Amino acid sequence: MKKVFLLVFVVLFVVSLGLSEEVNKDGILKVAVEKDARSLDPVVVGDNASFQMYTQVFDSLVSVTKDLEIVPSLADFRTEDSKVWYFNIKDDVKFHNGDPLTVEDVIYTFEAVMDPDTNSPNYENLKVIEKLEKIDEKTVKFTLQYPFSAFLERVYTQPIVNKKLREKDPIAYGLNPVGTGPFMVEKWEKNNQLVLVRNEDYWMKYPNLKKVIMKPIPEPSVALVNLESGDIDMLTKVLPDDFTRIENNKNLILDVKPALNYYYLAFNVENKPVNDIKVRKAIYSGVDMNAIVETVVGQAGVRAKSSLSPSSWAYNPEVEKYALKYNPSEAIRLLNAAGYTHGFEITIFTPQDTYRRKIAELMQIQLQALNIKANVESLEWASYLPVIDAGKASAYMLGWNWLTDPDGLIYDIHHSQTEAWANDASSYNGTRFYSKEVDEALEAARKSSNIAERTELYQKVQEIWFSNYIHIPLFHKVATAAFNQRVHGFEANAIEYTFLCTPDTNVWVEAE
Amino acid sequence: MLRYLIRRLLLLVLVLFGVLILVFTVGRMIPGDPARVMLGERATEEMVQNMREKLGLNEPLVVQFGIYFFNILKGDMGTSITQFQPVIDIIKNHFLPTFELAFMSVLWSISIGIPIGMLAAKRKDTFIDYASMTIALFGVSMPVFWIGLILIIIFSVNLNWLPASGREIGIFAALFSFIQTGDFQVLWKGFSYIIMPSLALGSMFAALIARMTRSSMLEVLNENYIETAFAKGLKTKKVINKHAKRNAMIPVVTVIGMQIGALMGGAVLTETVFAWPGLGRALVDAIFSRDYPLFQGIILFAAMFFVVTNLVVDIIYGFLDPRIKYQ
Repeated sequence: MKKVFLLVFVVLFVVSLGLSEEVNKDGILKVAVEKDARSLDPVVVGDNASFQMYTQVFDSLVSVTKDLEIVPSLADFRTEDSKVWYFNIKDDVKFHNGDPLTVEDVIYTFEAVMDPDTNSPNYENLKVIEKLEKIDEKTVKFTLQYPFSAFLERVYTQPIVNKKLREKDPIAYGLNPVGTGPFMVEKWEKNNQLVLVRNEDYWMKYPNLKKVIMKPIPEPSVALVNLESGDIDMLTKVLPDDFTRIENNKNLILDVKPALNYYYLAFNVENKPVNDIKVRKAIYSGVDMNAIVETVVGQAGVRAKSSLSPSSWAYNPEVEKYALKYNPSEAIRLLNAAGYTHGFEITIFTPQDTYRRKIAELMQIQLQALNIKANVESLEWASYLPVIDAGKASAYMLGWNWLTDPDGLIYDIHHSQTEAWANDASSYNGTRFYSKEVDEALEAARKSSNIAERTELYQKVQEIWFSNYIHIPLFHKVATAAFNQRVHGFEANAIEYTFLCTPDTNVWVEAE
Repeated sequence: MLRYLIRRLLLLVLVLFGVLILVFTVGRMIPGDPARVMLGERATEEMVQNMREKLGLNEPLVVQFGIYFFNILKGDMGTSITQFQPVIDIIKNHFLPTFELAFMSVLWSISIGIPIGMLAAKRKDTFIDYASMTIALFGVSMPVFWIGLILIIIFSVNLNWLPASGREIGIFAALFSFIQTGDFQVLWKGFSYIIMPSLALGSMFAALIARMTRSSMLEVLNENYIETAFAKGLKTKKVINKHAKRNAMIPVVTVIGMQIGALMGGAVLTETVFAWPGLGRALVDAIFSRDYPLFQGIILFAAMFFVVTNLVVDIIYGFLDPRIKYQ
């Protein structure tokens, strides 16, 4: 019997040895990205493409885990009232050039962003900061204009730069930045590759990857071919048409996760005929939105019923009743009641993105049956937003991403922007739907740190918004990533960030 | 000759000035605001206005043009609005990849196009003629984008011989390094990336050159002096190589010159398919983000290159055909 036990033990031991993989610390990870960064200076650029690259080089005061929990990074934080925040920077954090991280670097970073002359795209995110003070050699005090529960998320979006170097030459700093992050820039050939090497003295942990090469490949089919041929190891954006192809490839892994975003059709309620709720409802029930989204988006997303996704704590399941089913006769009845017996003509504006354009085209076909002549106009971004801002678009499609706190989505797209509307100026809410109740609820929720109270307020906002049919919610897109079997420790995540070496990730690649 | 050159150079300045006015006004006519694009969706109107002020976009158009023009005269093409770098630096960074691509594709198109065209002309109305011209027609008609993807599927996915996209080291650097060290690996690394994009791009021009060479050759072969040459008892090979080829090449050289010039504006589609870091992609990005100084700079540069190449081609005529005299 003893011998049997011994044998079982030995077998188990050998098997476990075989199973426990040894982490390779010399791997090179080649990632395909859609676009190149414009600059690597986090003070002057904030677009997604640039962010994905410079976050490998820089750290922020706080970081985000895979489960979207905000945790301390360069600094520990505390607050009592969400209005005054203290950040205590950690000892022994050094920049890539050996400079120690100081309170001055932190203050400089935020002040540079807040300086109107910098024209930082992150200004709007951080303008809630009223005052920055140095308390001692390790502590910075942030005083906000009002208590702001989602402030940490805003802090996360602003990596800390090296004051001395950036002040000397901001342009050069943007081309060859020196941060505190897990990787250092070895070379950057614009539109070709960004080569990053491991920061051997990274304060947080020892990064498993020796090198990371980020290659902008604009054409998704070519990026996929590169993945299949092994020229790159990872793709962070996968088209739904390619899902099966990747799943059938035994060398590749496809990872799909629900993501925090919202795509919608919005009405400008100042414009005829959609100023009439009956018309808005007629358009909604005149199209089979479930089928359209299913056809167009397929596995790449799920049908949305509200601006927040059902996984959010602030989601209001009650608004699902406002999602109208396909009912052409009801649509015709509504149109008649609104006085549009002979229909009308309307233009649906969309960006040049396949999903939204196709949805609009399918809507166009179904609306014909109601005598509504819908034109579809797809514009590229730079031309698109001004059309919405100027109030010219009666129906338009947009999408919005958010990070960890619902405030980042719900406040921006539902709060009224009366001043901007009056001047046809830029705003993120182009619906021109004004509701004092919505505004007050959003402001109160932003200032509260009581989750139960905030939930109630956000649910109220959703109730008012969707019962008025200001938006037709389209879909929540999923986050996708496809990578080689040799890549370990990477997961697609809800905010679609490329986490390579963060508090709870440390990606590694098997030796070839 | 000198007077001709001076006149052409003056004309060149005039052409470039015209290009400048055109690019400047057309660029401003596209709806969209660089300040808005740069500051992103979260920008407030106040920020956008502040940025416009800083970029000088609130000045009257004529004033903006005047400032831009005088800066150009001083050799300053301005700073890119979206990338914060001097335009000239961005052009410098993207020029070499584009030049390499143009160079290689011209090489392909000459080495494929001229022999095929010659052969077709020599064997006029035979199977070879029909076959080669059908292939050429195919080459002209196929979109570069499609040819590119087919090449990738064959050579990268199926055969795994060539990398699907990107660029490692420049071909000239690779060649230089090979001559110095004899390291074939480096040479291959340089060339393996450019083979497919240049072939995709060159195939279209190869087809064009083949058709051009054939018709030009046929025309020359009907000339009296060729008949005389044959009558003298010269062999066909000699007649073609000595007498016909040189004259037949004049229109072909024009096409090649135009090709080089046109390619310097960047072969946008090829560069996109193969993720080639050239001027074409930089130009398209600049237009989409309404980066006025950058796209004006790239177009001006490309126009300049085009005009200069044409001038060089005209001078080469003189060597090919001594009858052409410039006055």
